[in-house]
Amino acid sequence: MVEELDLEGLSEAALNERLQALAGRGGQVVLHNTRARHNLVVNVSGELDVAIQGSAGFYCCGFMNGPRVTVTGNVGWYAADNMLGGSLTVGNNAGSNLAPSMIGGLVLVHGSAGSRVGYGLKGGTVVVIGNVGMLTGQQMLGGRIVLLGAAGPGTGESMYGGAIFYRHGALAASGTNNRARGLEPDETGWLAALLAEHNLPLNPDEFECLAPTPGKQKYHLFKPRLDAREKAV
Amino acid sequence: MVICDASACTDCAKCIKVCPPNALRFPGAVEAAPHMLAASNGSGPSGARLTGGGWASATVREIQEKARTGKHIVRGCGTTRRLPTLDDLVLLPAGLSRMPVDTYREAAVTRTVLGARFASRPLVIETPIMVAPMSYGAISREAKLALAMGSARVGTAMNNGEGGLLPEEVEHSYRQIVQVCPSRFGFSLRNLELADAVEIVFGIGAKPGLSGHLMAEKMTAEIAAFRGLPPGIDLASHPRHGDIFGADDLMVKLQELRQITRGAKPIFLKVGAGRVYEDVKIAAKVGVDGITIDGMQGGTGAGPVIAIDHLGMPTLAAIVQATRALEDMGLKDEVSLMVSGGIRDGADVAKALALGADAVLIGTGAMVAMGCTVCLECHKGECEFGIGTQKPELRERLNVKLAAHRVANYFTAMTNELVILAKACGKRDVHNLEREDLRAVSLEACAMTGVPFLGTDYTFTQPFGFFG
Repeated sequence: MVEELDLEGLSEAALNERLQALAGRGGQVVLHNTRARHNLVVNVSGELDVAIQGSAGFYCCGFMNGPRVTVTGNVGWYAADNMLGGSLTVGNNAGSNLAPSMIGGLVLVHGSAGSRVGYGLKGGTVVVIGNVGMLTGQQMLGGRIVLLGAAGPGTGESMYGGAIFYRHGALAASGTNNRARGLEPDETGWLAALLAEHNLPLNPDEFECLAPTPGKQKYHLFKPRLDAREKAV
Repeated sequence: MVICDASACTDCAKCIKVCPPNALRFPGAVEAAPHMLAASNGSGPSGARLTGGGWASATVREIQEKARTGKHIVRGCGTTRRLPTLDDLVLLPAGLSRMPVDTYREAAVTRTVLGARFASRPLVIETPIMVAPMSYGAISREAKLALAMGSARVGTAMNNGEGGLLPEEVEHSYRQIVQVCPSRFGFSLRNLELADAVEIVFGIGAKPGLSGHLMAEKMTAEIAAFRGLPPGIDLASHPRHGDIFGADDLMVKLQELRQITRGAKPIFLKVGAGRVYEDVKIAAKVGVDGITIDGMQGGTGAGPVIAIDHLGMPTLAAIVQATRALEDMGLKDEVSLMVSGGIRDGADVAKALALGADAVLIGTGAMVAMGCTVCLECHKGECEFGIGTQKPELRERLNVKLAAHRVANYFTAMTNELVILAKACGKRDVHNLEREDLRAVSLEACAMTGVPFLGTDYTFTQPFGFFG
């Protein structure tokens, strides 16, 4: 049975409590009049399909564990923050800092995402079909990020764990403390299955991977450029 | 005459300090210098006498160390600089104009309620003294456990710090404040569920503006696994919250956390003392229940010396700035104010409360109670008392039950001292201590706090409250 909820006059806290009550029983919920409100589907755990008709604001699906959420429009910054499980599928674009400190689950963005996708990511999978801004996967601890479009500078900056998959030539510049490598056999299989599951007509052969540099990280405070010359005005 | 073998020299410069100049010869020392660099531990191939000349020996040693390594110096604990402290204030006792309360026979109130602004279940503790956040990693599992047990005995709260929440820490503590740090190491929804209060961290007093450090010596397999990191790395933690990039975001984030905690648990915000007045106003405006100000005298497990000694604001000034900000907003009675950084005894607590704090947090003092000698070497992970180390053979030196007993005794003694001072000032409730009870014994403290100079009712610079 599909339950239709109009958010007009309903607070975010009341909505999330309602969703949590429904999550115990499974089922489907369609949310209308979301008007990019913040904190939608926060701390909801259990089996539930949630369809957001429109856009969501900040922290959509934060601390969520279990529900499958689709958003027809955009999501704001920090979507899927600290998410533990379930999935968030975004029809359009996502703001910056998508899936910060996410622990598990799947985030799939059909459009583009801003900077710092997967900041401090711990686990789960983040897929962005469009382009992403700078510093994707900064200081991520684990999990996997799959980028189908172009990526801005600083990708994989100081990553401690996990992997970032990107298409050949799509990286503007990677950050420090990571290294590019080919895909391991298990990663190839996993990526092929992921692409097929989401009807993305690409071959894992088109991808390479950023992984952490083994050993201690290098930090940069001062790096003199001894070959620098004053630019003529 | 001693002919030094440059190829065997480790550049410790000890011979240069001991022997007169004409007693030593260094044939080939300059040429030998390049291959000596790796083994160097001293002042350079030609050496330099530590003659002073206005340069303190510590300064000379620091320069030599930087010249040898090309790196900034990292160490543990707080600043060693002489800064104005709460010692620069005294409390005015009762006499005839105000009657004292019987020190030993009349009851006194020490119970403290924090975070009652919006939370339906505020933090209630039996003394306004809590255990400051010290991460699992910076200190040992045994030390964490002793702090939990010790604080539980006196009915107060402990704060978990950055490195996650140990199950035994939760099990043995009386009340647990759980930090939401930028790194989110060892953090998940479960931590919020186990918390009695939540604290969002935006900096620490020992190195405000910098992220956490954990040196490789302490990044054991166990610590690394708990934090989700590779073992053996020098950690410079996450500089910013990945999900809070400004005050507007913080307001929405607070709503998220309130939903998760069902509006029951207090949500605090911690900043290192820097731009205290502005930070406190923003924190109060976005809707936190309490604010923790960590002053410049606060400690750390590891940090750049240059930051420890030169960033921030002394605790004394920071309390005044925070109180002033809350009073200017008309929120002093609503928002709890907690203070840490160099608090050592009941007098410090009494003066902090008189200046406007509702509670204090003790870090270094609690470690000293367990055996720490403040050697400033926490970053090396070689703590011979089993506190600031992860080495099993050193950890087993810490007798957890005895350490817990000593922490409880220290907190009890400190609370007794607080009660003695409060009663002497004519207060039955320690929270009734007020700035009118204070006078400054130094011009610096007078100027810094706005508390009148001893023997007068006057100050210069900005007055603070009850007069002017």
